[in-house]
Amino acid sequence: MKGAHPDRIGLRIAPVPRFAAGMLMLPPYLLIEGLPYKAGLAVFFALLAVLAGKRLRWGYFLLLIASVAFFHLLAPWGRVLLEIGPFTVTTGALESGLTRGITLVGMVFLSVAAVRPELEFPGRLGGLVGRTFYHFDSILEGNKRLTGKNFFISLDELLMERFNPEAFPANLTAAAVEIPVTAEKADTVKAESAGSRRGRLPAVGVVLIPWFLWAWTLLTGV
Amino acid sequence: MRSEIRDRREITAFLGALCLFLSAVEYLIPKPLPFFRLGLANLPLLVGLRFLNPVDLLLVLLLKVLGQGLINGTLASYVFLFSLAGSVASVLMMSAVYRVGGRFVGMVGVSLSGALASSIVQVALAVTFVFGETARIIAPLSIGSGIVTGLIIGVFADRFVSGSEWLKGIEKRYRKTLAGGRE
Repeated sequence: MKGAHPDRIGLRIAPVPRFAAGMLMLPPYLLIEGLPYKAGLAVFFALLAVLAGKRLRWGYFLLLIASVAFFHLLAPWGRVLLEIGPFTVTTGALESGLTRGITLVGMVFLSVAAVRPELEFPGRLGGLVGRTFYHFDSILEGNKRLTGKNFFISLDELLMERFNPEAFPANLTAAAVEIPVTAEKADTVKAESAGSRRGRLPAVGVVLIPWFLWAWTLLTGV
Repeated sequence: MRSEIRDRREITAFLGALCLFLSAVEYLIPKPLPFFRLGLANLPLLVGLRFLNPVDLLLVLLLKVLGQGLINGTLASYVFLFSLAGSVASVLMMSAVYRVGGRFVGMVGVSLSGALASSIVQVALAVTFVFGETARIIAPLSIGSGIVTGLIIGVFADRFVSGSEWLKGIEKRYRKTLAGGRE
């Protein structure tokens, strides 16, 4: 799942409401009954993932659904559809296998569409995750130094350059050091906080789609 | 004292970042099977067993799993739960083997035990939540591949521990922070 295309969702919805929307779409997806509806929602989530700029490995996901269905077919139940030697394809096993496989794959699509690396966690853990991504970017900047032939030597040189055990914290940025909050800084924090709520309305609109579909299946009894 | 805690957190964050970097490197290595994973990202956890205290070791694990979930976007899916459960089982097992085995068990043995624990837990989860009871037949394949990857990562860890100047420096610096800054 490489991010090769532009993230169209990110242009309208900030990471936090986006993540919240993803979480709010999970209950109707898990609660909805009937393979066609579940598959329809999975396709909707796949569309969201594509809009998020993710390149989905369709072959991998089809293989996953097929393998889950296959293992369910090994425990036959329901009407016999097909017999291939000792292997029996039954309606119950096939439907439950496909439902399980599609449910799992749909959850991955939804997660891929809803989660961004920019998503911030609160508290100390959030700070630590932020520092981890800072260092990750720093190591990635020097990854051209790595060679397959002398992998460990080149890795050691890269790590020494990016995080010298003797030199830090001198080579760390001010982000790691506590900076007193000035009025200007407070304004920036306020602006960032407002930006972090961007796109709540479109997020609510997207969330309502699976909820409406679930309510419709309940009301019509399909 | 505060600066020692900050230094320790910085080392923890960097080891978490190294996990993510090695995970990215692994993407470049061709896979013989679609579900096969070498587990290169576990290397910092394995070498960290030698000097990190249990809290920081678990923090590195959490940063690795959270970071992978955020980068790949799988944080809100079953993939994250599988990864978390496998990693926790692996680290707990490796810690136990490392502490009980002492000098009688090398990096390869410790890695092997962790890979086995991770494979067993992930097969159990797959049988329970994904494939159903009949998927027990994939257990030998999954555990077998766990043994192979555990051996490979163990050999890598052995080489890294014996040859890395950076690791020696980080270990020394970390131990200094534990001792409250005293040499």
